[in-house]
Amino acid sequence: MLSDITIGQYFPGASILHRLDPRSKIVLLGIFIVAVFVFNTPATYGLLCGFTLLLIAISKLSWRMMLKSIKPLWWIILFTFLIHLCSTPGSELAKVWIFSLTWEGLEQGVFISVRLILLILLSSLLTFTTSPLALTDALELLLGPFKRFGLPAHELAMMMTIALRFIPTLIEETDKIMKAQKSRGADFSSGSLIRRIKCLIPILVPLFISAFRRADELAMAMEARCYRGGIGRTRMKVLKISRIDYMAYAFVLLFGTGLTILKISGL
Amino acid sequence: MSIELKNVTYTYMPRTPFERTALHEVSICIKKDEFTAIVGHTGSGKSTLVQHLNGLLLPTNGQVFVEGTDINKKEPAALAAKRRVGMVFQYPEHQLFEESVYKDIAFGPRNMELAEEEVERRVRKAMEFVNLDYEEYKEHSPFQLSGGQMRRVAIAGVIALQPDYLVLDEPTAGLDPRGHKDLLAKLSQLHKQEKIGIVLVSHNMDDVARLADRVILLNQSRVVINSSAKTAFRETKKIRAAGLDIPQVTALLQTISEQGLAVDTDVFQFDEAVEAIFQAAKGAKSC
Repeated sequence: MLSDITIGQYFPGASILHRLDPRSKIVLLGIFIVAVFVFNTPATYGLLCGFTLLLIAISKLSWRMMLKSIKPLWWIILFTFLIHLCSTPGSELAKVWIFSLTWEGLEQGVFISVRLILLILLSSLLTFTTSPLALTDALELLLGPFKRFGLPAHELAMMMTIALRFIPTLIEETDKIMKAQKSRGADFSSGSLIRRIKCLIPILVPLFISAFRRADELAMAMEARCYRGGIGRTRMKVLKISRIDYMAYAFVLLFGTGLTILKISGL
Repeated sequence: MSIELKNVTYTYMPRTPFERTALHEVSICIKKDEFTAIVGHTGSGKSTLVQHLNGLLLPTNGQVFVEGTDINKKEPAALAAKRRVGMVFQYPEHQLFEESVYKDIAFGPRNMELAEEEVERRVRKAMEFVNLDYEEYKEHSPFQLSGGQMRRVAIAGVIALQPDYLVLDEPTAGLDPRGHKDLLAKLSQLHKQEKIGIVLVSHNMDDVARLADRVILLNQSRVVINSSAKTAFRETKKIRAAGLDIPQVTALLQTISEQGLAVDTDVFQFDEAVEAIFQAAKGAKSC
């Protein structure tokens, strides 16, 4: 039930993707997201899909896990597909009730769906292969240059670390409270919408109380260990750009050039 | 009159890299007229096991029967059977949510769609049972009470369901010695007077020795010992191997007996042990 949530889940491993520097992974993911939006011809999409599948194979993560990451957004994908299918003008394929399904709509719908799926898969690959700690470290370093414009990079990264750290704890806590209330006869899975929303109160109140208590305890513990922001802090694990990072950049550059050529030649 | 587990296996997060079997082929029978203690080291599967008793967890393999009804079937009888088993989690005070003690304890009975008079009667009875004065505390906010009182409110909330079985997962954790003693005395009373089958999950072997009729010891997701308290504590090796200790009284008597004084090592109450040592010493002198 709640253990099915895969957001932010990290699967330890030793594949090339795991060993890449997290900064490179974030930057490359950014490049790919842009690419998915810019290169929107059938041939380039084919290449991008192939590339994503290749990455999944390299990462040695189970395909089931990857499919599961799409699951929460399945309805949104289906919804956007249907909207595009019905609302794009063009040559009519079929007519259902007042909606006319068009050939162009089908094409558009498939494109948008593939785009969404690619975006989810690529970002899941990042979180699946990068530990949350490495991820926030990388973000802090990437945001470092903006510090001079007043961006609190360290504080943002620390907030993210803490938030990520407490996701499993809160899930566990929710699970426990739900079970406790279920044992007292609460029923979360039937009844009208309003009834179900009312059923959330016995979960949310204890959850908030425990979250505030935890926050308080954490602040106290950090203070007791002399935490006073990022100034002068050193790291135990210093991130280093290595050979595979350069190779990854070179590969992506090559790949990007290929895509650009395809796009310009109009395929 | 029993809860029966047949070959129950439970696996967390199956088919992921985090797969872990928390229970392995567990077959036990919990009788209503017995005070059952489930003991084991941290991570031995105790908490997972007790969550099967009222259907909170669905066994990956195997079946759970409450009074002969398979509680994991999708039928009304299964739901009714589940409701016969009350569950008090660790730190139950963390589940309180209502604005008054009365409303919180009434949450369970109201979910059972009982008439309001019956709900009130049950709340009153449950509060009296846990030594909270009904008139004084019913309008109190549960969050203004002390930790020990909050726990009693939470336990009252489960007792108000009037279950046939009451499962408690380390109910005395974090209580002061007096609260600890009072709570256990209450459980014993509940078992003897109200004839409720009690399942107590605990690390504390002294408590177990004093209260339990049957001891179930879990080690690395398997049942290692499942026998009457008397025979269970003779298996010193198995208990130590599971990372637990034998009760202090038993340890003392066993040491005395190893030193050559024939003393009855099967007593667990403090005064009985004194008597046993006294008798043994007298017997030794008269020889």
